Amino acid sequence: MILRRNQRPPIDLPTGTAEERAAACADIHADLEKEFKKVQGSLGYDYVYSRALVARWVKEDPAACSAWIGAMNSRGAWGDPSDAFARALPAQQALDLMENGWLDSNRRMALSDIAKATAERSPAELPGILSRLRKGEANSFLNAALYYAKPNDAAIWLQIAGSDEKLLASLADKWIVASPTPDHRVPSDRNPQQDAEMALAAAAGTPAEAFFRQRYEAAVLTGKVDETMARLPSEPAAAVAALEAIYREQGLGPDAVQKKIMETVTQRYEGTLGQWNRVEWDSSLQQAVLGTLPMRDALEGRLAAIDSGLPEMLRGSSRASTLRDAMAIEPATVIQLALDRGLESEGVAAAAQVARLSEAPMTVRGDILLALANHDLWTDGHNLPDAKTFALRYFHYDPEAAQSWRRSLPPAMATALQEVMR
Amino acid sequence: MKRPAHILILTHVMLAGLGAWLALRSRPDVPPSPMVATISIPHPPVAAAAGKTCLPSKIALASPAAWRAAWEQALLGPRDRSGELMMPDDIGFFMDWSEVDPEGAIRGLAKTYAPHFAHNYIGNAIGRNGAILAPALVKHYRELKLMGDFEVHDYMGRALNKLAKDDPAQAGSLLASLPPGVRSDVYRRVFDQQDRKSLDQLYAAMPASTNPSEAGRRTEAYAAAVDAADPEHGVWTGMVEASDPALRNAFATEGVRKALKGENWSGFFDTVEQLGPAARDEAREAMQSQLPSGAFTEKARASISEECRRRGLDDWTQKPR
Repeated sequence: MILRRNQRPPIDLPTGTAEERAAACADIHADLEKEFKKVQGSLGYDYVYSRALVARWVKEDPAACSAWIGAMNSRGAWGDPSDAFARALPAQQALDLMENGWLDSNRRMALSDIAKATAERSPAELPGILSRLRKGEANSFLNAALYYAKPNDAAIWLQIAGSDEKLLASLADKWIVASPTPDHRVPSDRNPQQDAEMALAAAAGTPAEAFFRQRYEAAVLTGKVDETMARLPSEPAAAVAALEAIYREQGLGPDAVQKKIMETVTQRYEGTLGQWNRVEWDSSLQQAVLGTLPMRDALEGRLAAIDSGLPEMLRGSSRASTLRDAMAIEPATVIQLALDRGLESEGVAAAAQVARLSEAPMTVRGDILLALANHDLWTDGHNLPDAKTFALRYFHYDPEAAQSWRRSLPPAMATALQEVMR
Repeated sequence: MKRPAHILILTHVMLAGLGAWLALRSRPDVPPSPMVATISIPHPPVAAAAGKTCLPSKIALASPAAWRAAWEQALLGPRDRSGELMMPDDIGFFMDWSEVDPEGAIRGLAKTYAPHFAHNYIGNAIGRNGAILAPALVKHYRELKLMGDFEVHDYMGRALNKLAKDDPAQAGSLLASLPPGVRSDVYRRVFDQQDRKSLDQLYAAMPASTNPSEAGRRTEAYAAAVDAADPEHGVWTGMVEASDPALRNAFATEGVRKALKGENWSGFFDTVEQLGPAARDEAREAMQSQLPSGAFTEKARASISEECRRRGLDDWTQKPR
């Protein structure tokens, strides 16, 4: 009777007498041969079923099963035998086959499969396998296995790592991470605190102890800083004060504390946390775009709010991003306002940043440079695009728009660029 | 082809009737009245019938000014975290607007400050009404300053692509009216998946170019699209028939790429054998310029040499003497 996929009976563990079990193995063998016939007849074989048969056979009679698979090398046409069977075999059996030339062309992939399966299911076998690998294979094998390294198996991993600093660092990256932040390296079902404690306990008395301890302290500190930084957009003053306390606790002097806060803030404030009072600012920008609120008023409101609502530490970067946001909409107003308020260098820096952005629209970049030129600020040393290069690019992009842009530049500049744009 | 007007009216009345029936059916206290079905409503309330959120005032939004006012009112209202307008079915609203008043919708989008969300409005609208939006986009794309050029060009390309499937002549003249830098950014999108006839029509509609990078991207995109439209012969015929050297070069380059990808050089060299000496040198030049890339493995080089040897040609993997 031919059973379709999913209709086949589950493959039971053979029980009973030695004869009955031998008969069960013979059945498995016969079924695999049938699947193999299908392959030879260019029919699709039942991949899942074949793998289940192999897994079952290996348990009962590894030698016979390995021999059958090993012989398959020359029989070909199974697709990727590594994919189909290497993971179904116990690692040592697979290595035995490989030592006899099986899977030689696919050895790298097969080893990586074996590494993952072993690290996941029986990490205690890892040292034994490592000792059988060829020269130069250990690194990529360990890299593949590392993905499944669990802190529960820390003792084995530390034994493998010995005093290899690179491997220890990878293990620490996996197990000892700052607890409160969600981290993509930590699977969601794990508890970072428990993982770190497990790793520390396993490292006690080994060469890794000091290193892991140090990483743990760094992670705790990072955790505290992360927690504090998360409060920054909503309660900036309190968060900066808390940050100060954390760094002071580390034994840093007042200057070092200020420097450290500055570093943390510039690295993380805008990039990951967004801006302070973002919603209100976005709404002002929207009104400015619609024309219901003059951009100048919107900007002045925001700058005043920054001065009164934010601690000194955060004002610079908030002003910078404010100027950048507005610059992309109404450059002339922003530059005029920056000059009026003595923020010339900040204004020019914001202009330069937007004007150099490749995704900013060409017309916006042109408007920004025009606004600077009108105040004689499009000069060298401001990290701005070079006038001739920009004019030529604009001209190639949109000749008409570029010409009318050029004509609105201050006369000396307009004349100087005339030559470029023809 | 236009449908006769009376059928159109009939369909609308039927839809309106269906909508009214569905709407009334869910309120048993109002007895369904056959009279309702005869009321003529300009916008069929299909969305309401399907149970979607529909703006209550949608029917009243007959004029462009009314659409704009409703949008601007939403713009000044609160937003969610991503910057999306808090308006019932805002994306659907924008899609409907762009169908009724495409120019108004594009200009409304230009006034929308939502850096992380605005692309959803235009992306969805083009998905449904790309052909309708194309002329409006070409007319007003400069106003879309709150979006990056790259994004705007991408959407314009998609809209023109849809229009070109219905009306290649109109799409061609719109495309030709764009400045060279914009055109060169949209060629790939517009030419993508067009049939051979539309492609040739679009290509022929382009003005002569003095901008080398624009011309290069045009011929490149055209040759690639011709290959996609006619994978059997397109590129090979192009290599033989192209009269303009830049286009011949584009076809030869595409031919080399195709042969390399398919690991089959016979089509390429069959074509080469049909070429005159000058065009042959050009084709060889096109191959030479690609040879240093890592894609040409030892195996690929060997099969090129073998093919050349079989045909009694110089070995094209070597520099010409």
